[in-house]
Amino acid sequence: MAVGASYTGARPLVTTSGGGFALMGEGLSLAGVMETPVVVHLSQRPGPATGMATRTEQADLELALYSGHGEFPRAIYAPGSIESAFSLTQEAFRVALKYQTPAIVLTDQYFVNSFYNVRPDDLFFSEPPSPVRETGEGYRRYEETASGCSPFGVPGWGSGIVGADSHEHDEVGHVYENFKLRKRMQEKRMRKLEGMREEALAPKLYGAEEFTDLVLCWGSTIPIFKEALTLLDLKQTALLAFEQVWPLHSSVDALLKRARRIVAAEGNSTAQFARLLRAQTGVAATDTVLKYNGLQFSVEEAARRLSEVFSGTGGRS
Amino acid sequence: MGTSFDLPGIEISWCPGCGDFKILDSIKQALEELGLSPLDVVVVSGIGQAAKTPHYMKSHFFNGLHGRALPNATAIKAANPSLEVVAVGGDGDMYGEGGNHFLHTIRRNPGITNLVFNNMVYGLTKGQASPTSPRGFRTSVQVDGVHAQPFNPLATALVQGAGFVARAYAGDVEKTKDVIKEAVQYKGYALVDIFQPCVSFNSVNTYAWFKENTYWLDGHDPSDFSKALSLALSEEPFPLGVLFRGEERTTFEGSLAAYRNDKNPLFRRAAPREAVKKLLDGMCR
Repeated sequence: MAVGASYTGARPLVTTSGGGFALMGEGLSLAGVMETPVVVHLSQRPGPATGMATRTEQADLELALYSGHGEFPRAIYAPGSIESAFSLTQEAFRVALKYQTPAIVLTDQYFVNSFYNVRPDDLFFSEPPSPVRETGEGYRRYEETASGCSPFGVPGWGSGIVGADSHEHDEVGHVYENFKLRKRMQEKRMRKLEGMREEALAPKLYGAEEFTDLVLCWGSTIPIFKEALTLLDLKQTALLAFEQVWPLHSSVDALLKRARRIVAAEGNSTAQFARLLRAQTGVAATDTVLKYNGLQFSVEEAARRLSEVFSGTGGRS
Repeated sequence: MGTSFDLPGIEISWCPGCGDFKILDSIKQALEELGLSPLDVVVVSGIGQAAKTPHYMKSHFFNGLHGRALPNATAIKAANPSLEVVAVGGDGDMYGEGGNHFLHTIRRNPGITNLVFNNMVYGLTKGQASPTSPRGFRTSVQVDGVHAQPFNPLATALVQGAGFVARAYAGDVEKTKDVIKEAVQYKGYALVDIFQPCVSFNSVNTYAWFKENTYWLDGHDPSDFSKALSLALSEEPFPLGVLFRGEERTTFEGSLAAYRNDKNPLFRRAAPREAVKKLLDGMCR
């Protein structure tokens, strides 16, 4: 339904958790090939399947990253606070609309059940610009452009025909099997990822500027590990906090390569984000602090487990 | 007869003699006679031979996923109620893969027209039994014949509360066109199940068979629900025409708060800043 609404120029938001997201994977792929902006909020809970439906986990990063058959660009955000959830959801809409492709906001059960006081002034709202344009005669929905983004017409505005197709299609949107066309269209869609990469948000570094040790975090665990590191007061350790996990900002590679020791702190059992970073940069985490019993880390637990890692009594992977 | 919905110079991949050609003619003529232009209409489909229809006529089009024409058609209508939305597909697509969507779209009652090309077989994939294949129907997969009870779309639509339920036959372009016109004009969800001979993969339900086993309703009162349901349940001969035309009730798009104070389609709207601010202020109290 979100894809149909988006085709017509609405700005749809789908909110779901792992099971629902898995079911709608085909729709995500549809949004990819049809080049319709769709924002999906995926609140993670422990799987597989129904798992622990009222508990928390960070184990759907790879689901969000690889869901949907075929290859198409997407952006994935993982807010660590209510304030950033507010601004990152706007960013997700801005990027989805600009690049006409899906964007995913990844939270978890712990995060969506959290509440605390925020200042209304900190919730700044800036409407993402609409890409929708009036069509003229001879309009082609999938016109080739340098950025990969085509002029976005909608039915009901202008004199052009607006088509959308789940098959590989020509510029008008009609199903047409041609190997050269297929290659051109695939490259057009994937070209959008380059622009999205250039606009990716940089991870935030907290703690020692001249670090030797780096703790990696994403999403809801960020404030917890930030506080834990403050408690530990380690002179050579910094926290690298990611609120956009895909595509990665260009600074990530150099930051990881500067670290002597990298501790991946994640709410899952296999360090999914560390795996992604290794695939993208070639840099592997040296240690992990993982939790996957259905509960979020406490600050005390995070501090204890980090100190075990740094004192050499635990966590090495 | 030429129409403004004709799309010249295209290659159509339906088999020669396929009933879909006649249905395509009926659709284009119906829309033309209703005074609609290709810019007023969005033809939405899923996957299948019938679902290729949007590629063979001139209008806005959305060819989505197998079984999922109806949710997209509902969303298109909801995002811009001034569009005339026609969801097309075959029996496998709409009643099989899309069965769940079929049930719940009827309950939602969007103001769309749902045309189902019912040839009682999966034609795109070369002849497996579909939800409407008769019992005993033998295929290369159902080698002992179909065991399952065929799906009855008309009776199902009626008990789900559909306001407009009709059956037509591809072989009669003129009458099918008239039924489609009436369906498009109905304000609410309208189903037209269209019997369609598949000349390649259904050697049972042929042009001759349909001629023999169907009749056009004459003098039936379409406001009579009980009579409509009993007609929907009757078979061999199968009744053709408008079985039921109920009183028009609130449509899905008509029920949306988004249109209470503003009739503009969603793409013309700015974000409701004031409403967001009010919501946040409300939380601060």
